Amino acid sequence: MSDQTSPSQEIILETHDLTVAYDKKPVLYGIDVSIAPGQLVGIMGPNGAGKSTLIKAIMGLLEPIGGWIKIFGEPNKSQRKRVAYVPQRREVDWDFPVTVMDVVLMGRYGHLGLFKRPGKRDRDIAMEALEKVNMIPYAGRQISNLSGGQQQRVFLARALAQESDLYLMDEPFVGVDAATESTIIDLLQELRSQGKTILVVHHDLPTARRYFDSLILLNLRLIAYGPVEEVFKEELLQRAYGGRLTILSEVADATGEKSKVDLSAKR
Amino acid sequence: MTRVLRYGQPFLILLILAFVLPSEAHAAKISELVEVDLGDQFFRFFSLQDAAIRHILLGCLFMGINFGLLGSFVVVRRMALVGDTLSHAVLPGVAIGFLFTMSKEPWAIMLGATLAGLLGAATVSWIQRSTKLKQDAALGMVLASFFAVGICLIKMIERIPSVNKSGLDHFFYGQAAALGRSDLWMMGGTAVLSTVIVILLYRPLLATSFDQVFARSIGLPERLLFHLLMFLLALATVVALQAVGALMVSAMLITPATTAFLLTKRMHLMLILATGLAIAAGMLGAFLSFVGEGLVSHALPTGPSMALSAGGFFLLVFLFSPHHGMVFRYRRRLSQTRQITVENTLKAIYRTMESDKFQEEGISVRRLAGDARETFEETMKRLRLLVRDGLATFATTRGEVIYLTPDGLQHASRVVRNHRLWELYLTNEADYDADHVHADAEKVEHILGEDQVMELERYLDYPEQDPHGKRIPSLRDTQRLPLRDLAVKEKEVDS
Amino acid sequence: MKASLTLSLLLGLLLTSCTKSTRTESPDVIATTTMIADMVRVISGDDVSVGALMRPGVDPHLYKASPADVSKLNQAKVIFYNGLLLEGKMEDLFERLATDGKAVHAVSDAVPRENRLAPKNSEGHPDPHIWGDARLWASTVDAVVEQLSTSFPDHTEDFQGRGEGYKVALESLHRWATKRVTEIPANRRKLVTSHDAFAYFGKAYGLDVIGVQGISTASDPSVADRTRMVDFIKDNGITAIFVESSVNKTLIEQIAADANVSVGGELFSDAMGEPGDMRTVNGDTYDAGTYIGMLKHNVNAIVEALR
Repeated sequence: MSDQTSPSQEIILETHDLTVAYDKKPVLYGIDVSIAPGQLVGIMGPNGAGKSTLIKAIMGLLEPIGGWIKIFGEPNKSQRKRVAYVPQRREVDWDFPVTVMDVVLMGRYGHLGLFKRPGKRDRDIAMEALEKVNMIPYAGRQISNLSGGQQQRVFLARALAQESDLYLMDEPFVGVDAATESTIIDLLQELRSQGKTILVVHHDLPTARRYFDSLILLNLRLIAYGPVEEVFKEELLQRAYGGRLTILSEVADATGEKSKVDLSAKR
Repeated sequence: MTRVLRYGQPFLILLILAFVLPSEAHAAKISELVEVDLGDQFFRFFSLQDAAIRHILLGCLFMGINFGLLGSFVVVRRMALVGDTLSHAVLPGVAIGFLFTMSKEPWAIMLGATLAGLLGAATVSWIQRSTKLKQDAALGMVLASFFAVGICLIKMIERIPSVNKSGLDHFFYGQAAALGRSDLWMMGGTAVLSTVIVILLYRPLLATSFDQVFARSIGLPERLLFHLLMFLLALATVVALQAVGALMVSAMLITPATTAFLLTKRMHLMLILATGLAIAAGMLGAFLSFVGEGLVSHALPTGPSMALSAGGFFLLVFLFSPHHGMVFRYRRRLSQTRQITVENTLKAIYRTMESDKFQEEGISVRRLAGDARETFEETMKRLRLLVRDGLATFATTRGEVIYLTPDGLQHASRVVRNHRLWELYLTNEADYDADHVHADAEKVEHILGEDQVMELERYLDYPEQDPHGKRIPSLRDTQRLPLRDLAVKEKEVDS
Repeated sequence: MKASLTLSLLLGLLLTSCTKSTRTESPDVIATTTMIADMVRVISGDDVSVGALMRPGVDPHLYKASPADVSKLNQAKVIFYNGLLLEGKMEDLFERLATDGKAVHAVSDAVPRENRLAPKNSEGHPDPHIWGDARLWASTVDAVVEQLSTSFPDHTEDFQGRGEGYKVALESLHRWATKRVTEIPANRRKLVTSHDAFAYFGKAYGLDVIGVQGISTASDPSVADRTRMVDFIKDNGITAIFVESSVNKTLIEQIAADANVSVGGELFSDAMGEPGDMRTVNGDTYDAGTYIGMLKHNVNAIVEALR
């Protein structure tokens, strides 16, 4: 069903027949995508479509019950140092007693291993990352004093400090101010121009067309994948967000937990 | 004579009773034989001459390290109840350890208790994973049922013949008095283990505690580190049972760490502070319990004394810490309120002087009271604040007249200036109507900083009049000038 | 999975332990402590079945009756208990049984008021550890014989005969113990133990008794108690202190270590040894599971350690 991008020798991320389940109930079915480097890819779909699930599976945080994921042609779990993940901002406790700098330095931990301390180089990288998100003045500040937009920038800086080739971001634009949103999108475009690939879970249709090169349209299964202008079509969007439930979601419904598959279209 | 008899009667009865009542024992418990007073106990405690006191202080040191380090992680991970559950869940392990060896072998009891604690923790996460129950429900269930099993097993053991099992109940409440070398070895070993692990794995522990999903995404063994933390927690709980008892362990684990959390916003400082507080609370508790013996015949139990000391520290910090302390917050609010009163009074005097075109230096208190629609006394009360701050003086000769000092006039000009600039800003830039701006300016005038005022002035292109046509005191006015200059300027505005 | 398995195992263990204790046949006479049970057994011979509620090594101060105990007590014809609040947690139960018409007899009732000891700060509650004095213990025999005879009139004569014999045995035990204690130099006749259970014993045989705890083990000793006891031991040149079979040993062991004295041995205070626990001292062999053997053991242990 999916529209493949032009076949390329260089594929940064490839999934084949990827099926992921929560508590044995599948929430993603048979996803096939292969993504070329240097792209800004939006992952879109209604609530409960499996957007976050997809990137968590790519990160190896969820175990697929079928199919496989390859990053740079290797199994995903062996490539952790080349992948940076930005979780949803609300998933952590912002009263945690750490400073902005502490959090950004955590981006280096994957490279440091369990016992090594961050050195000057790590600090420089972290500082550089903070500078890119305009957060240098806040480096020593405790994270509970930050606004939503600033929190998101801290997370972004942490991902930048990882110096990865593939970035996976879970709803980075939720609850941030306009200034932060434009800072983030500028930064993502800069990353892309450096040949990095960025996958962003996004839920705002109007901005999606401007922000992304290509889109993954999800609703439990892959509705479409391709350049924005090809995917952003009434018929496809209707299929992803449309009011009627697909057979798949009815099955999912029948197996329980309706809240996760609330498919009532939401703008 | 008769009087003596009348008063003698009760003595007689007592004398008879003394013969009838059971005779005095010629055995006693030690606390009746050796009397102590407060001073003795006090010096004795600090002389460290007793092994008992050295043991308990050493125990406090080791326990404090365990509780401070592990408690901090427990608190920032928001799993305080987990510590509580763990301390209750170890009890069946104590009993099973005993059943295995049929004696109170420390290693068997420790092993059993640690395993039971971990089993309890595992049961919690198992219940959470396999049902839709929230953590608090799972913790509550495990806590109660493990504790119940523990009590049942211990009661069962009490019925087993011929083994000396007495003292198992001490694991509930602890018996600090019986703290011995083997207990200290176990505590010390655990403290060293905790310290080494926390220092070596500080960063991974920090990252996994802050953001589990991210930590896993960069390949940190998040589950393993969590289990390691739980294992250390179980060990720390078990070795502390003898000293403070299962019921007080969680208090010692959570309270110092929570106190430290209020005091600092850096994890490594929190670890150090929590450790210090836990050690101090333990030692203070031991001290109170020991010295308290000189005050009351029945000693304060050691475990609860320690927990109470920890609670006392928390209360102190909660009340008096510089940033979050209730007392400071209250005083800050109080002083803010006072400041606002002072400034409003200054402004009122300025306005009255202004309406006189600054011809009179002294202002009648009655007039001020009348303008403010207050009683004379209320106004006097406010004016006395100014006098106390050196902003005004009362004229004694003419009575009931207030004079602003140069400082007072300067301060008054500044407040009026702030007020009027803000009004102007609101009308010009925010499209407020001139009659809507006063209330807002009333609040803002007190909080505008020097820099903001200057910026405001620049922004408004150095205005001279507010929206109501009143003169805005200039920057120079606010920097001391004789009253007659104001009078001259007032005329200029008028003309 | 594992957790539930372990849990169910534990539960199974608990259940079997309960059923086991209810299945045993209910005796006609129930005595609370092992000392009382021993006396009643001696007096009643094989004529009636006698059961003890508490097993050897059980602390009567803290003992609570289980449901199985209550049913045993309900089925028994006669109940003997110590009284004077020894069985502090069961006092109410005995009162209730007595008002229900059950023959409930407190052995200590036979001890006249003037012979009872009351420690300081006990608010007039007499010390219950009356069995420490063999002669005093013997004075309770008659009342037990009488009670048994009322409930089992067929055996009255047997009871009386055996009671007289027991009194003689106890009297000779008393004389033996008195003589044996004199082997300790007078200035060293000081007995330090966990709790104050040896007041009658000390008075009868001329020993000063000092316990870390009071007459009940229910109150917890403090750190200050430990330091005071160490002082006392040092000040009085005491060379050995004693643990008790039914009280936690660790504190006494710590005190002995602190004061650098030896633990003189384990005394039976509130419970006797296991029946058949044969001991031989100076060619005299006795069973620590009987009252006489227990007292002999205590005296021998104290004398050997302090001599």
